[in-house]
Amino acid sequence: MTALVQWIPGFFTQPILSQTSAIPEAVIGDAVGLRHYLVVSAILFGLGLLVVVTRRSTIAVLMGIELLLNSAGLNFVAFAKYSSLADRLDGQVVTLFVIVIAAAEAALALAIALNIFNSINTVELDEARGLHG
Amino acid sequence: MIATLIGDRMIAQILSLSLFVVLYVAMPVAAAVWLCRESGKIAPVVSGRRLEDLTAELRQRDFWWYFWVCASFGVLVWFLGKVGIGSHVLRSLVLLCVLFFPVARGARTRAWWIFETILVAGVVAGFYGYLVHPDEAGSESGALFRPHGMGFENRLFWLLLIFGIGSLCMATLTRGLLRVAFSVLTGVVSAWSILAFLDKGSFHDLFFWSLAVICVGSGLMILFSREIVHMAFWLLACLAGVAGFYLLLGADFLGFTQVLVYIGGILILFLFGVMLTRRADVEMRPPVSWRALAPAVLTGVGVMVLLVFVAGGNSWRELEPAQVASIGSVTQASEYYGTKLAAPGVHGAEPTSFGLGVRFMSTYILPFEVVSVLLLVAMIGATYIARGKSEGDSAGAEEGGAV
Repeated sequence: MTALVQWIPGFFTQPILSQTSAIPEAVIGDAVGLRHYLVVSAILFGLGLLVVVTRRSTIAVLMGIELLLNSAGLNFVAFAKYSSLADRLDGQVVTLFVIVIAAAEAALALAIALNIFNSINTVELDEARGLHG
Repeated sequence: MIATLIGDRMIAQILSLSLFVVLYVAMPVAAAVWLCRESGKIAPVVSGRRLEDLTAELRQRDFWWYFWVCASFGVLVWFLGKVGIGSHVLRSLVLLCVLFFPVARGARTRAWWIFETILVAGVVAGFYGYLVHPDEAGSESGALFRPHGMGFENRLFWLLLIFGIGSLCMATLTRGLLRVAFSVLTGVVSAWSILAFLDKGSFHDLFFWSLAVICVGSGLMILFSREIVHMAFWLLACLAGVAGFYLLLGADFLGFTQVLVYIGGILILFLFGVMLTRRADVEMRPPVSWRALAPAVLTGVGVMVLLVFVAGGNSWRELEPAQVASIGSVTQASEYYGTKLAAPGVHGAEPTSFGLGVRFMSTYILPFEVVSVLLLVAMIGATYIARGKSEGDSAGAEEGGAV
């Protein structure tokens, strides 16, 4: 009981700042590293997958695919920086290839979408079942 | 003598003791008296109705009573901290949970319930993290609960996980309030980034968290936008965030290539695609309801959560921070130019274009040529496929007619 009486005033008179100074240490955790980038790119990948899976418009699905490719590229660059001892530019080279291939893919896929629109007057994937695939 | 007797300390003791007595003696007694007086009314309620009706009735009878209970509960949580539970944030979250519960009850909107759910998830995660990894560093008790080295002490992971849970919850929501909840979450992460900056003083962390907010937030908005043009512009924000990540990782050439190719090229292509495949006379079909898409949404969210756990939980081979900072401060470009372009320890201050050019012309010469040919073929093919029927060209007309 005496101990209780002793620490109660300390609790009320102690300045708030000195009490809360322990917050960042407990909450923030370690500095940003490889895993943080990987988690962000995993979330981007999941969001792109959700866009691909839930949308009906061809162009929206293509946007989801772009998101998937970007998350993969982010992974390459993050690994190249944080995990490669010898040469950290290899990952960047691969990501550049990914960007080039994404550009080619977007151009071709949009041309195909345009053709689908010219033939069936819509770009919704549900409607494009002429091939019975 | 009297001044020392009736000093600050004495007044503080009297004040704190009276507060303690009011909160933990008078309030429970008053609550007991009130319960006894109202027991005649409450008893049939308890026996006959559900718990929700009971809380609604209590709220109608005396709303402020609940806040007294909340206040005393909050102070109790605070006292728990004095006793030994060290995480202020955890206690604040508990307090927020209790405080926002009547709002969620009273507002009766799904958004508030989602908010309350997220708070409770944070509390559960915090308690779990606390149990797994107490604040004292070096305690071995937490090792058993970390099969993948997840690092439960890093609560930012939990925050990102809560982002995932929130997006799952939002999938069942209508619009409007959804954006409010997202902005609340975004504000939380922004506050986190500022806190990280104040704690570590690291601009890298600050920029990382800001870019993470931009990327994940605009990615969510891509997912939830109904208009396809809005999707395109949110995609622009997301790609710009990824370009910022590239710059932050020291890949300057790649970052600017991202801006040029994606934002300058592919997005414009998307906007052209949207523009060319819209007709005013064609009625847009109403979007599929989220409930009909439940399997797809579950699959996607499941994959996302799995990936987050794998990415955050695996023990990737990672260099020491000093090593990461030291490599790249002296590279071929510096040797070639004979000068040191960047001070050692500066992240990514070295231009990468020289090294990339050397690699494209030496190690990666074959993929480089193949990709060049692929780009050429794709360009010609896209031009051939996309030309309209109105060109008067026989091949295009036949193709259009045959489909």
